Amino acid sequence: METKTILQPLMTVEEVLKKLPDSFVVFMNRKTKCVGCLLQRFCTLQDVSATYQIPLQELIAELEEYIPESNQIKRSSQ
Amino acid sequence: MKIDPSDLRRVSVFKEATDDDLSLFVENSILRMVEEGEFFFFQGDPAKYFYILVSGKAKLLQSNPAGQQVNLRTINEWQMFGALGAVRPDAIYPATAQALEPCTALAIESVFLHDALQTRPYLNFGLMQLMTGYIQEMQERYRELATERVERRIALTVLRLAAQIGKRSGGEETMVELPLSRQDVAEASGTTIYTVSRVLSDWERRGLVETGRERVLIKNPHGLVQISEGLDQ
Repeated sequence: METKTILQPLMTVEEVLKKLPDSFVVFMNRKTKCVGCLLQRFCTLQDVSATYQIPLQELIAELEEYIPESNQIKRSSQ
Repeated sequence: MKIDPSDLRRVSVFKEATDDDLSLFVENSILRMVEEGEFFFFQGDPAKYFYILVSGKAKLLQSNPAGQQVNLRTINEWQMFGALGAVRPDAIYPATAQALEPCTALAIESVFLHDALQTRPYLNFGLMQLMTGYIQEMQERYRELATERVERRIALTVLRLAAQIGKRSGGEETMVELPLSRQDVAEASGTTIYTVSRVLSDWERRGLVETGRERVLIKNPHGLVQISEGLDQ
């Protein structure tokens, strides 16, 4: 089952961008410096949330909008 | 446009001037109108006149042989500029003066100020105050270029090394640990161990890093990113 696409607070920005490449838009829109940052493989979504004061669940929800259609079906059927 | 000599007292150099002196300067001046974007003088021209801006705004800029420009300062109303010809008779303007808005200025021959300086101590002090102010400003800018730039370079180097060889550390909040000595950081950033020590100690004071033997722990990764981008000022 492809349930791994659901994001976790301790996933790093690098992992998120690898899984959901299109979600970089969220980092840009939120005016974070994450896209292109050298520390992507260390910073977790929790860190991003704390640094930029974005509620964690909001951030995750926005990022998950970029889960490809096919995966979303699998997610909702889990 | 008629200039009231007493208005000249608003020029810092003329603060202590007598009414007679002020009239003398006005009588020996030419009123110049300069359109927005036009020039009072160019870098390299003989410094035959100095100016007092009566209205508008101007800027002094310098360019290198490749044409790259640096803005040196903005000139506001009742500021004097281009006066170095009064001190050195063979001087050339070290910068170009360009009007940022439609400007009116009094132009007075440098030689006239030069002669007046011989018998008027207040003018000498006034000019010295102007010059020391400029020097202080330049020293500050020089320090910024020399030190703040190196801080950014070191921050970027540490971040690059972190991306390559750093290990995640810390609990909830992410920290990054690097097995590097100050010497390593100095070599990687093309600076000296003294500079690296100074910068790292400062960061340590600010709670950004913790350093030990052969070890740099980045406690506030985002703070370092901000320094590397020059956003922390």
